[in-house]
Amino acid sequence: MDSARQLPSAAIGGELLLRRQGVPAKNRLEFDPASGELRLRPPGIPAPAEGNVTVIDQIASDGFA
Amino acid sequence: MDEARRKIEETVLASTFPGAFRLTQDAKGAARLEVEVTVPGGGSYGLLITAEPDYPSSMPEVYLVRPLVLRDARGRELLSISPSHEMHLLKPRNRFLRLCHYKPEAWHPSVTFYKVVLKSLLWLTAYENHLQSGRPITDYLGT
Amino acid sequence: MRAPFHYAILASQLERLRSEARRRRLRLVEGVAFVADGESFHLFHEKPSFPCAGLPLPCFFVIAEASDLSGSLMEKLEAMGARPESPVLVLSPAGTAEPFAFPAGSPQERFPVSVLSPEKDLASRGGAILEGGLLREKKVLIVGLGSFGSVAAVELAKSGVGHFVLADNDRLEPGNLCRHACSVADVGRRKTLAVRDLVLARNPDAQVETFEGDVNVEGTWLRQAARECDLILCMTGTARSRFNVNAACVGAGRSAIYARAVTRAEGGDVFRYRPGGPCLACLFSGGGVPGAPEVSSARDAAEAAADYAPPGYAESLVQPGLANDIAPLVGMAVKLSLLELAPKDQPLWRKLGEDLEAPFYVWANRREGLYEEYPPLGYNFNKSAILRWYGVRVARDSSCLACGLG
Repeated sequence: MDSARQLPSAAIGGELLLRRQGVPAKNRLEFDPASGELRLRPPGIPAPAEGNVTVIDQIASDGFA
Repeated sequence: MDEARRKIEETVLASTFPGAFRLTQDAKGAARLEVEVTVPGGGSYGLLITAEPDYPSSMPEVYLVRPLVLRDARGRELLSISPSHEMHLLKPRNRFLRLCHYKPEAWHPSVTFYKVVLKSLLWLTAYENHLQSGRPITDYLGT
Repeated sequence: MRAPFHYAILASQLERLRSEARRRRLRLVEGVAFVADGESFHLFHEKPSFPCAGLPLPCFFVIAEASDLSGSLMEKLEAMGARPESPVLVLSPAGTAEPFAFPAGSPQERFPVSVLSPEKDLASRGGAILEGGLLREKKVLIVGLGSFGSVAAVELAKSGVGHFVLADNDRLEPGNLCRHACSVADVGRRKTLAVRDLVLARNPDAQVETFEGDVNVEGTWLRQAARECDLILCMTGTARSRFNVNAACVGAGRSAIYARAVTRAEGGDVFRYRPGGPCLACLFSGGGVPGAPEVSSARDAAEAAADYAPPGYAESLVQPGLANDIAPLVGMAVKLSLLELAPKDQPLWRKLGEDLEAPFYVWANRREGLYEEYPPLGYNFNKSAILRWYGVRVARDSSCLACGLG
């Protein structure tokens, strides 16, 4: 099982808050088409072999209208 | 949206939201994408993304069509407080919530519907966090 | 002593008049002169293609040798409504003598006539760097006829470009005048028609088509127009129209020049697309371009302001920069345009083509906003500073969906 999936929505919210406060991102923000959900990949946890995820750090940091 | 672009959009969506989307176009080329998305550990939502015939030169609009009623942490209907900068909501159309997504200056034609859906998923994740914390959505997504 | 009168006629009209008179054995032809300041007369026997300075006045063309002028002719002119100041131009039927003119009330006077050949002047004056007449067959589409497009159109007409397609769906408003090439006399007119007149005033033989529609909606027209032109200048203020023009030019395989100012014209940029090279979408998808477009009209402001903006915010966004801040950006757009239109064996190309190798150029007018960190211009020539052009390398984005789909 991909351990990156263990982090819930609140953890993603916490990560987004920290980034907005200028704290450097520790985790990678991804979208996993297999589950259809966003998730965080903590440092040191490699991407799954299939590698079929979209990293959305940039999309998140671009800001919203 | 021309035929070549539509094929790309469909291919990307088929591999990322398999079975969860429907993309249609009218005679003039205006597009509608209906897609079901889920927030991790949270609710599922129906999004409607509409685009003018000159998409992707123009930015699409994102509507929340399911559930029909969404409330903020204080119990107010989001429709009643739209438009709202703090909640990143634009002026509603046809009584549907309209979500902020890309900034106009960040938009370019290589942004796909898929990326707009991801942007909307971030909004929904921020919204669910707002329900727990009471913090405005701008705290999560920036301004 | 009375100031000498100045009379002028277009060579093309003179030639047509002479040939028509010969064919129909005409001796007297009526026309209209525009008199400015009571002393400068421009004579026309056909409707001019451009607006003229001054007020209209009946004028007459006599096709005869000077020796054939008679008193009865003068009586005839009077009967036809000639006023004392009405110009009478005398034209030798065989072209053996120079034309001359006199006021109908003073038939004993003789004034020379300037025969104007603007198209020849355009060709010969550019000859040193751009061989005469080379641009006469070139056709340019200019999308957006505001402070950028109107000036660019006039500059290209002055350079001898012979065919124009002018596209804009706005009318000239009083607020446009501080930067627009048109004048207060054009307020309320379609920008297309007002700018057409400016083009024809510089190059009366130019062929000018106009399109009063929204290129964001009229995609079929835009694609067709792009195919029919040698070069497209996109001088609009919105990202949407710029991307629509980009799509049309990529699809048609035509070069394009894009110019814009950023916030309050604190600076701006000019981008050149050549088929096979990076397109406008590559420029933005490959990392983005700093700077929000300048907001110069209430309509642009309404589009730029988010729905949740407080009352009055949209109006506060309308902060057009000075015409002087726009001038270098338009100048660069025109220079790049001429480079695209001129054959590569022309002198213009020899050095300038090497100098203007970059597809993207950035300019700063003032040390504010994006350029706040620049050191003062002072005497530094080796540091970033305002009022200098910077060429920027732009790579084609291999994943660009605008130019990678073809």
